[in-house]
Amino acid sequence: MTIEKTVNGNEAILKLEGWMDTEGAPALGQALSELGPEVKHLVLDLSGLEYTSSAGIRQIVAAHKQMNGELTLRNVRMEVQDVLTMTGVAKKLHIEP
Amino acid sequence: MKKSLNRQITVYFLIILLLTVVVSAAWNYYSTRQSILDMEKSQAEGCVETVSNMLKHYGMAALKGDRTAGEYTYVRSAIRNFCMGFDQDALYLYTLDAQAKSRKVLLAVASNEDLDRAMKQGQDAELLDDSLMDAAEEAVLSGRETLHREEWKTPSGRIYAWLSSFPDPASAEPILICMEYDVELESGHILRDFLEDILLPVAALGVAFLALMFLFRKRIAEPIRLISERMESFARDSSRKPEPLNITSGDEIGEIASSFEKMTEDISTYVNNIEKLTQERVETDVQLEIARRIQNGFVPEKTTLEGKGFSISAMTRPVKGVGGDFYDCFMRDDCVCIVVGDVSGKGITGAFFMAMIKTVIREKLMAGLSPAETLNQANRELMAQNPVGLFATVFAAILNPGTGELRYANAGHTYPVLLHSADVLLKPENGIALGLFDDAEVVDETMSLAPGQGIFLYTDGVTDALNPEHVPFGTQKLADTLTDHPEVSMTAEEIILKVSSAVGEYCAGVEPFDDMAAMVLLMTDEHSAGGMRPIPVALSSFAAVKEAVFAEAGDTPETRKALLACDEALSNIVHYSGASDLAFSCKKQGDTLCVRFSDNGIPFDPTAVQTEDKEFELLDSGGMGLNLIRQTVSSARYERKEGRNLFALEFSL
Repeated sequence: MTIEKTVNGNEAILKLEGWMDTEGAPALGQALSELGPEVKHLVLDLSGLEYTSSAGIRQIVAAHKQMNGELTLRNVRMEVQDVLTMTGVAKKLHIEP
Repeated sequence: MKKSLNRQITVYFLIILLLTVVVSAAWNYYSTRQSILDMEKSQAEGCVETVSNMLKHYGMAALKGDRTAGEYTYVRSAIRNFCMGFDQDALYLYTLDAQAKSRKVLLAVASNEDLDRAMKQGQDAELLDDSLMDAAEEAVLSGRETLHREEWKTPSGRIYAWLSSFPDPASAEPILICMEYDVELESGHILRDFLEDILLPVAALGVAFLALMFLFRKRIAEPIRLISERMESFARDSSRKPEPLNITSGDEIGEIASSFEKMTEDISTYVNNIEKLTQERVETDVQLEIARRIQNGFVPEKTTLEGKGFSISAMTRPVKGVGGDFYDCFMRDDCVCIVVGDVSGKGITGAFFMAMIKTVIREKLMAGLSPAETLNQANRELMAQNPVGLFATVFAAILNPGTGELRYANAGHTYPVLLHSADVLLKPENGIALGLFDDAEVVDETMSLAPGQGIFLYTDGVTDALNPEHVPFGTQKLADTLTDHPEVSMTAEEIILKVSSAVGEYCAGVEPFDDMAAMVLLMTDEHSAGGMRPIPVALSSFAAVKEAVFAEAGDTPETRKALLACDEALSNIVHYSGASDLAFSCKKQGDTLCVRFSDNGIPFDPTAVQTEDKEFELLDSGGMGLNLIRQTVSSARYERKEGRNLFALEFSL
């Protein structure tokens, strides 16, 4: 999985691409820890994310907590949406249609 | 140092002997001395009496007169003779003048001639010591003692003197008589007599002692030493019988010796027997082990054979090391041949017969004969050379995996079970067991197996296996075991494992008495071999799983969902099982994708875990994985077998 980071003032965009399997998920955690304190809002652009495991979901929930809810998921593909729904996190997350 | 019995007894005996000798010698010395003194006293008395009688006869005048007169000389020489005769050294006769306190010697004689000559010439008075004599004379003259003994020292040595008195027959004046004799002479006397008395008893005692010691040594000490020596050497090596003791005395020692000999003989016989038995046992065990290895080479305890469109798994469990049950499976061109048989004998004989039958059957099948032709011909060969009269029941079949056609023939063997259809018995036309009659009357039959279908072959060791209550496992329980599986299809190997562990559990604690062999032939989807392949116990193995799943069923939303469950299952194993070995398989069967994980980690049944819906805030701590698996699989099955976790997942495609 690759992560592309864009920071616009107090908003950061992480564009995830590829497979966020159990092995790859910690990369998101790493990227989250590297965000500066000035970032008040985080957007995860999942247009390139083909797959996520529960480990990936955990990282997304961790991001949600870290940003105090200021997290938006963008361009969620169906496969990933299914997992978000199955794990029950979809209804708590802000997912842009 | 060892305290020898002989030495101890010798010392005690010597002490007793010495004490005896000393005590008896002391007593003897005392009594000898006493008797010599008594004798001397009586001699002195005799002497006094004789002299006084003689003087009564001659009168004292003879002594008081002229000393040169013939009478004096005669009396003197007579008295000297008495003196010598009564063993006295010297004899004095004298009177005592009380007023003047002076002694007047009337006569003095000595046994010694020189002394006597000197005395004759009148040199006699000096012999009497005044002061010493006073008390003695007083005792005699007063009549307290008739004979007084005095001892004193003179320049010539110690002297005894006997003093006595008798009245002058003429004047009644007391005449004193003093007799001397040598003390040394007397001591010599006593010693000589003592030695004479003591020597013989002491010599006799010594001889008796030596004889006693000799007897003791020969009859007691020596035999005991010999027995103790033999016992010691026997204790060191109880397998060797000690040399005979040759103690034939009828006493207690002889009894001990003969008991000891009997005991050692018995013990060494037992020990040798035990050693011999152990040796024989070891030899038999070695032979059985060799036979078992040979047999194991012929019929391995476990076999799997997989090819395009089929999968075979087989096992055997011989009892007592070598058994008569066997199976065989091998390829003949594109077909696969399977054989299961049961030889009527066990042990080495059964094993050899089995090896022969198996070889003959394989040879015929490989030559292209049908199962029935094979069994009939094998029967004819066995009839021709079967010296021990053994027989065997055999089921043989040939499967064409391409068409699913199964051609089979049965020579008296137990009916196979059909798998994945209705799990019923296949009941072929029964031929006769091989090795009994000239014509086994075995015929060929055919049936058709579709992918997913199969056949279970076994020997009666499976259904005859007894539980602790002696109830056999039975055909029904076998059929139940084979049907009792969830929707997830099992591999041939899993079926064999399931049956063998079911029988094992059923018979727990009972020593199996019959051999057991079983084989599963499964028709599989012809594109897959269905085998498990090892993958590293690491999250990175997910790539291989992904690749395999896509290769098997393509990259579709369904397979991606399946991968989600695979990912969770894999990360569970990697994170929590502690496994060092992991294998994986995936197979598409119709509309179903079957994925299996097998690991050697700690037992963990994912299907038994109750998952609960966690609060959103807690979701990042984990616990979603098993939920995801549950939501994506169409079925999941967990088994713990032979120290491995088997997790089988099925997905609808």
